[in-house]
Amino acid sequence: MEKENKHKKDLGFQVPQDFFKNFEEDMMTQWNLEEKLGKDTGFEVPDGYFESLEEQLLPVVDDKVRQLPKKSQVTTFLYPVLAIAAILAVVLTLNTGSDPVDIASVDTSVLEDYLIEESFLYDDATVDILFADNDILDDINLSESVDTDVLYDYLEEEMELNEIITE
Amino acid sequence: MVVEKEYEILELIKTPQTTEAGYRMLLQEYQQQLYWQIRKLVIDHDDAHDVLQNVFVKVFKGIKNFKGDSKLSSWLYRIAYNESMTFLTKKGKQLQIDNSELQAHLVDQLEADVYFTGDEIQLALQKALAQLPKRQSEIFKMRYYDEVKFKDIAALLELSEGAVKSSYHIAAKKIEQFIKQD
Repeated sequence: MEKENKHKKDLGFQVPQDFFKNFEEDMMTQWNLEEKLGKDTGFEVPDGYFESLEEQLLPVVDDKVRQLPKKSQVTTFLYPVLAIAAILAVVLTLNTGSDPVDIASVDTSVLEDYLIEESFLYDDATVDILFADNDILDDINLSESVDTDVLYDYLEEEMELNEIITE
Repeated sequence: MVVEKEYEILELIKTPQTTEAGYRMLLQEYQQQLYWQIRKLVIDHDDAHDVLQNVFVKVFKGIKNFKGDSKLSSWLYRIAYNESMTFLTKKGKQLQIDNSELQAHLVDQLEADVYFTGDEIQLALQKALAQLPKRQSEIFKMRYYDEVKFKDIAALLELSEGAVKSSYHIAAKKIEQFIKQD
């Protein structure tokens, strides 16, 4: 039987069902874990690891950063287009069954609307590049032979890189 | 104080003459915190070291474009989390095992690891964590050990705060049960 709550004045405030019961259980679980486990994981590092870590990391990291290929202007230019083309490849492949789709046959305004609706176009430059007078997309012929795993991996990497750069 | 330190690091890095000093300060300030965060996810020391290196490569590469929309520490935490997950996925693929088998494999190796000096209960905890669904295990580690706010975990994992709280409490109860039985 639930105790009558002397502190509860009728102010209109409510709590979710079983709030105090769950709160008590959760607090006791937390207390039990901290009592038995503490916060020590038992993981160790080699002696002096952190003392020398900065000296170990700095040259290696610096070297790797320098080795990363700088994107050429052409690559930078093409990246958004390729990313969008890849997205379209997935979308169109998934939506069209087994029939190959010639992207040139899709009306530009339909594509534009779709991309805007789905927020694929993240800046004006991308829009300009995609809808510039070029024939990059016209040459792409999509069919079920597109390896979606490869595309997903590619898009995942692109998104991760974009997140880091645009944060 | 933390915000001031973050600002100082970012300013040093942005100025070409002091970039290296900024990188050094960044390393000094965050290397241990990030290492332990990664270690709890990847378990093995050498793996944690490799992931830490990759994290700083990404950080050094991207930090000049960091606009400060979030705290620097949150940004670093997110990169470290993503790198750890990427590493574990690759490791699983290399060993041709799924995530739950990988977790069990990592805990098995832990028993012979010279860099693990945990007692029975700490080993039991690792075994319990390996048996949890991936998300519950991650959420438990972030909340219990790293004391990350539910709100921040939710943002990192793109879940609702309610879902994160619920997962944490379920995970905590399972671990409590597991340890009682063990």
